[in-house]
Amino acid sequence: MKLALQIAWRNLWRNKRRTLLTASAIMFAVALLTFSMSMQNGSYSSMIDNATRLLQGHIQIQHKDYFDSPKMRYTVKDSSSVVDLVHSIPQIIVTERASSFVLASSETQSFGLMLLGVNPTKEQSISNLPKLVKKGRYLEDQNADEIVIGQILAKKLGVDIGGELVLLGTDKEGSLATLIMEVVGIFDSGQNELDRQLAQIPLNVFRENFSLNDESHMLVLSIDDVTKTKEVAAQLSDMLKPREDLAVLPWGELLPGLEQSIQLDQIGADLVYFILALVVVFSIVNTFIMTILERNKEFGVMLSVGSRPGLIIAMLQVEALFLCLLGVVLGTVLGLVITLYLESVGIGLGEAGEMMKEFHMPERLYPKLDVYALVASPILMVVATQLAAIIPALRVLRIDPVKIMRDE
Amino acid sequence: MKLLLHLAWRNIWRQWRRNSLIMIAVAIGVFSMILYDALLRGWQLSAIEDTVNNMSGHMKIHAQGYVDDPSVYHSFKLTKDLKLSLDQNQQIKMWTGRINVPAVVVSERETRGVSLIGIDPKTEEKISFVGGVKLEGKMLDDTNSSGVVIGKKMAEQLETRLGKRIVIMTQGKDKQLKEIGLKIIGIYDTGVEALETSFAFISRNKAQKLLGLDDSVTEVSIRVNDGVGLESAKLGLGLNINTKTLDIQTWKELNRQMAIFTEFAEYNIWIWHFIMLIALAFGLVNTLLTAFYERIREFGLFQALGMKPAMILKQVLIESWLLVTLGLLLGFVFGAIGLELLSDGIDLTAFADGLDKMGFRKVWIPIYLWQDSVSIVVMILLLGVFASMFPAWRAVKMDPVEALNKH
Repeated sequence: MKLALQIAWRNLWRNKRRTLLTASAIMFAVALLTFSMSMQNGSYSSMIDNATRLLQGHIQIQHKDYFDSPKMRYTVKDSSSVVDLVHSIPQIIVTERASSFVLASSETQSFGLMLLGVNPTKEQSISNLPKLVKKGRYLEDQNADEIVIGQILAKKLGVDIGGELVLLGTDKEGSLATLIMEVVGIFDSGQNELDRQLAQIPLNVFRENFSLNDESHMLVLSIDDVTKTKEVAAQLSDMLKPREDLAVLPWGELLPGLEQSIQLDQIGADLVYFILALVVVFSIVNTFIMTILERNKEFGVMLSVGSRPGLIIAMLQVEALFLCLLGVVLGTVLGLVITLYLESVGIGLGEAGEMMKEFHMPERLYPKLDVYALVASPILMVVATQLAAIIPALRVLRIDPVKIMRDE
Repeated sequence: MKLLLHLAWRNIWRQWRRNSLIMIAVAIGVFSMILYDALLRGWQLSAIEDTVNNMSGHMKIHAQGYVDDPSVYHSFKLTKDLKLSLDQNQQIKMWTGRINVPAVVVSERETRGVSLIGIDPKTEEKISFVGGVKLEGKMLDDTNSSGVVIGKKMAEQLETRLGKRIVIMTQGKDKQLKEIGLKIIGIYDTGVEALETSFAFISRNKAQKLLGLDDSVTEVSIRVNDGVGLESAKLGLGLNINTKTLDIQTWKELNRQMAIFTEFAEYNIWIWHFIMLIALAFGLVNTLLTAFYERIREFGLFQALGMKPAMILKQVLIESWLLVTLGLLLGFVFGAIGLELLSDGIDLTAFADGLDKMGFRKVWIPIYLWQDSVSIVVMILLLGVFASMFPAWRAVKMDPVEALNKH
C-alpha cells in the first residue's frame, strides 16, 4: 500500500501542468461552494433575525385557535403561571401581550389599527420596536393611559406627541370598550405595515379595558441561540402538555412565509451546486482518461512484472484522490480566506443597500461561515472525482500485457 | 479554409472519447445556463405581471401628496382634458380611475382594516386582477352598482358570507366618519392571502357619494402598450398632464422592493453564466493543451513542410471553436428538451406561504427569452478563443526542428 501511495504521488507530478490545471478546477469549485454556502447561511440568519427581532420573537405560546382566527376570546388563561413555567428553562426571555383590532380616532381622523397590550419593561428585552421610537419615548409606566404608534399612522391621524387618541373596540364580553390615550411615542419600524397599523399600550391598561383577567393572547419568547428554536419549542410543548388549550409556535410556524422561502431557496441552491459539481467533474474526468490511456504501456509492464490489476486500479484511485485533495485543500483555504474577509467587512449592495437601510435591515450582506459547507463540498468533490476516475481505471482489467507491449 | 475545417473536424473525431466528454461538459454547462435563465425569467416576468395586476398597473397618476398620505384629501377631478389626454396617448393601452382609501369593515362578529376601492368595473377588469378572478357571486356591474365584493380570506376572518351585510366605515371629505351598510354580492378567490384581505370593492359612484367626492378619484391606473418602456411612457404622459397638482409613479416606484428583487434576476443570470464559463474553461484548456502536446510532432512536420505558423494557429482555433460549437448545439438540444419537460411548470404548492412574499406563483413556469441565448453564444465562443490561446501561443513559439527531433 505504501508503495502504491508513493507511486501515485510521484505520478501526479509527472505532468505538472495538467495536475495543476485539474486541481485548480477543483479548487475553484470548492472555494465557490464554501463561499456561496456561507453566503446563504449569512443571509438566512439575518433574515430570521430581522423578522423575529422586530416583534415576533422566536417562539410564541398562544391559545390553540388564536393563530388561525385571532379572536378576543381565545386567550391564554392563567397567563402568569405559564410565564413562571417558561422561566424554569434557563436563558429564555418571555413577555405577555394582548391584542385587539380597534378603531382609533383623533380630533379629525379615524383609522383601524392593531392594538397590542405590552409589558413596557419586558418588551424592551424581546422586541426592537422600543428602540425604534423616533419621537417621544417608549411606554414606561405599567398603568398609565399612554400609547405609542407608528409614524405613518401618526401622520394619517394628524397627532403628535402629547395628542389624544380615542380607541373604540369590543371587549372580551362583547361590549364596547372605549379608551382615551395620550400619545407618548412615535416609532419608525421601516415596515409600512407596522408603521401604518400598529399601536402599543401597557398590558395592565389593556386588560382593564378589555375585561381580561390573568389572560393574554400571546407569550412571546426570545432564546439565546435561534438555531435551537425547534428543541426549545419541543421542550415547552412537553411541559405544557397538561394545558391542552395552548399551542407552542416556533418562528417557522409564526412566519410560515419566511421558513418556506428559506426552504425554497435552499432547494434551488442545492440544485445549482449539483450542476456546478457535474460540470466540473465532466471537465476533469478527461484528465483521468488521458492519464490512463497514455500509460497503457506502463501498465503492461507493471502487469508483466507481476503487479495485480487491483494494485494498479488502487494506485489510479489514490492518484485521483491526491489530485482532488490538493484541489480541496487549496479551495478550502481560498474559500475560507474570501469568506472570512467578507464576513468582517461585508458586501456592499449599492442601490439595493440604500433600500435595505430604509427597512432597517443591514445595508451590507455578511456571509457567515458555514461549517457544513467545509465538510460537504470536499466530500462532494472527493466522491465525484472517485466516481469519475473509476470508469477509466477499470480499463486496466482489460489490458493484455503481451499484446500491449508488442503493439507499442 | 475548407481544408482547415476539414482537418479540424477529423482531428476532433480522432480522439472522439475525450472530445465528446468535453462537448458534453460544454453541453451541460449550456443546458444549465438555459434552464437557470428560463427559471429566473419565469419568476421575474410573473412577479412583475402580478405586481402590475395587483392594483398598481404599469403606472398610476395620483394627486400630489397621496403617496405620503393615501386618503380622501388627496383626490383629483377626472376632467375632460385629463380623460382626453389619457385616451389619445398612443403609448397607453388602457386606464381606469379609482378611489382608494383606507377603511374599516365590520361584520356582526369581527372588525378589520381594508383598502376601500371604488371602481369602474368596465375599465377596471382590463387593468387589474379583478378581471379574470375566480368569484363566488358576481362582480359589480357598472359604476352605479350597489353591494360590495370582498376576498375569500377576508370573508372568513369576518365570519360572514355571500348575501350578508357588512358595514364600511371611513373618513369623508368633510372629515366626518361615514358609514354604509352593504350587501356582499361577490367573494373573490385569488389564492393569495394578502390580496384576499387587502381590498373591498364597491362601485365608483357609490364610493364618491359616500366620501362626498363628486366626480373625483384618488388614482388613475394605467397599462401601457406592449413594448413601450415604462420611463418613456411616464415622460410622455408627464407632458400632457398638469404635474403641479398630479404626479405619476411607475410600478417600480410604487413597489421598490419588488423592483429591486426583479432587477437582481438580471445580475443573477450574469453571475451564473460567468461561473459556468470558468468551470468549463479549466476542462477545455486542459484538453486542448494535452491534444496539442500529443501532436507537437505533427505540427512540427506541418511547419517543416511549409505551413505557416499563422495557419497552425488558425487550425488550433478552429478546432477549439468547432468543439465548443458542437457542445453549444448539443446544449441547446438538451435545453430545449429540458424546457419542454418543464413546460407545465414546477408545482410549488408545498411552499405556498413563502411564495407571495417573493413574488412566486403556485406553479413556476420557466420562460425562455431568446435574447438570453445571445450572451450564452457569445460567451462560449469567447471561451473557445480563450482556451485555444495557450496551445496557439505554444504553436507559434515552436521550433519545428526541435519538435521533430525531440518528440
